[in-house]
Amino acid sequence: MDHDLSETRGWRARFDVLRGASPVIDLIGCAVLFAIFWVYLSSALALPAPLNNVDIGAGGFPRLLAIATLIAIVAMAASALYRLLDSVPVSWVSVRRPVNVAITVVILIIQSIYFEQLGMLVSVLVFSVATMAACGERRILHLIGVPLALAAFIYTVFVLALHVNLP
Amino acid sequence: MLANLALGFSAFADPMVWGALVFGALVGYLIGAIPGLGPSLGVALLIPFTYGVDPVVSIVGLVALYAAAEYGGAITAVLINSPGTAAAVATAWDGYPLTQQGRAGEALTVSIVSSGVGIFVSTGLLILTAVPLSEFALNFGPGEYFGLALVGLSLVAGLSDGSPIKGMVAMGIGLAMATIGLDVQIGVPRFTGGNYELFEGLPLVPVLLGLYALSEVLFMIEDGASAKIKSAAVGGLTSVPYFALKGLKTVILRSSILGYVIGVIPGAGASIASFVSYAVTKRFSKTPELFGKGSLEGVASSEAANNSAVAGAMAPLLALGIPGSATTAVMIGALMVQGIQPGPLLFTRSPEIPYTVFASLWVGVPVMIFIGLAGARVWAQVANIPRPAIAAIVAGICFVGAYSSETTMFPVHVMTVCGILGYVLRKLGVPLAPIILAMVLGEMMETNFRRALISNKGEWDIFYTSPLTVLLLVIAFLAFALPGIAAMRARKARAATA
Repeated sequence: MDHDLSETRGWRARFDVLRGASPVIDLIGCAVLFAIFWVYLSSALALPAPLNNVDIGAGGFPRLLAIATLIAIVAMAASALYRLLDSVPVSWVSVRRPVNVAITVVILIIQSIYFEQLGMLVSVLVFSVATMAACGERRILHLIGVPLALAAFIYTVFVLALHVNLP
Repeated sequence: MLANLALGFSAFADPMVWGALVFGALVGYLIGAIPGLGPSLGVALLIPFTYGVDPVVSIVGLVALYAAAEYGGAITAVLINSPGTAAAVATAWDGYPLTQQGRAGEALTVSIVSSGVGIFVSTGLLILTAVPLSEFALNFGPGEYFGLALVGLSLVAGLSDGSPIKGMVAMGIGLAMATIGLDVQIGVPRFTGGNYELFEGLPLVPVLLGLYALSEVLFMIEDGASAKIKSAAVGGLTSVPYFALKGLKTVILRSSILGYVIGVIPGAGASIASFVSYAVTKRFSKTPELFGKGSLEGVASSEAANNSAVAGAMAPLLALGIPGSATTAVMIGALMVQGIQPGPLLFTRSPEIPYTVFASLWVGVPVMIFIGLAGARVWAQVANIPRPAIAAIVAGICFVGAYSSETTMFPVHVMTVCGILGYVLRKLGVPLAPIILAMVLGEMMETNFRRALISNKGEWDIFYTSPLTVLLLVIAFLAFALPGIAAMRARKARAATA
């Protein structure tokens, strides 16, 4: 972020974009994926042995898959390292409005926990308003009208037409 | 074949089928016209609306949506230089300059008519090729089926956006997700962490909704509330002289055939079809200097090809059970929800399904041309629907759709996790199409892999003694190797010029 801009525009401008060099982000991603597939391989190795000599058993295919994917992850990491050290300028991975994205992730998680307790209508109404607000909508008419129309549409189609039992 | 085709057309005696066709077409146009939303997301979002609906009605709606989304992508490409889908990028190269010259109506008419003719021609090719292909596939053994699934996956992973290595990682993630649950042969729970809800594996529909639709919501949040786009006035929608359209017939026909052939290749898809067709048309054109400045030939070639690719992508899906694109991978999930397993046996066990698809593609042509031309002014305004409203609608349908799939909270949790995972993976440049494809094909791949070994008494030579299996495995290897080599060469060239 530009220094002068951050001083004049406050915290919103300072945190408006999160950026990271693509190879660095790739390396972090590779580390996480490597750990996941290592656990996957360990679990595959712990699966029961085949019942006879002609089958590879429940763990055979996952073992082959884990090894192939781990090789691909190492190759991806090697490619990222090569790009990092290469003379060609690296590309960037950016997340715009990261605070809003993080808030939306939290909204989605809360909705997935309380969807059944709140019921479909309340859940759709409340969380649609929250999602729209996180997306930058400030017009009151839109914030009220869209969730109401959406809830009515979902109720008509799923409950009345398709006879789905919604909470 | 003719009797089965008549069976397909007879489905249209049911008004519900017509309703599904029109509804699918309208939603498809809507999705296609909104930049950033593609047919994959549209089909994924439509799946919850097919619960409890007759399979034939569902499949007609889904196919109509898929085709209409490709039509719709052209409208915003022509009018506001903002292609609704990736396949409409080449359309914008000439469509928008025509709009700037005050010829928006001509460009739209040519694009929509070319799309319709493209679908019409390619459906004929689909009927001629899919049936023999399915009959040929009936002779496949488990080794060949394993090889075939691997080829489909490798081509999609190798040709997808980003590097082939990331495509391979995506394939690994998808296959790993497919192995979760009870082992199909000896019933041992795998990678379930003791959670009995995972014994049947990860539910496909919530995974689709999460990866394709919910992750898109987070990208919309990044965009924020965007400003309105001013679109050009649309006049003279029917003012294209007949001789102008007649003069384009060779271009449209050639592009339709090319688009179909490219569409059949797993991973190639509508975007590549439109680019290749555009380049070929420019090469054979008498006025190549007009390309990029407002050539009707350019618009026609791109649109005929990208719509033909829709029918092309249906061929491996229906005949072999191998989805060749992200959208057909999502569609196979929709078919599975209806208890339909695409593949060679579909043509003998449930001929009404593939033949209704063929019939709906043909019947859909005049319907979509009418909707496209009559509603051109409306579709042009669709890009102005506020992003926050779209985000809320997509998220709401995702939650209700996931819950409705099993009427429990488990699919909702899976969908939310997959939504966040999809966003992170897309940021990392890991393509989502191979993940979905691998999830869909994973069980079939593993089952045939193990069957092949068991049938050969545990000897691995079954994978290198059958000529067809060897050919398929070589193609699978080349699918990764060739794009990888091309990417390395391109990087070296960039380094040399840097």
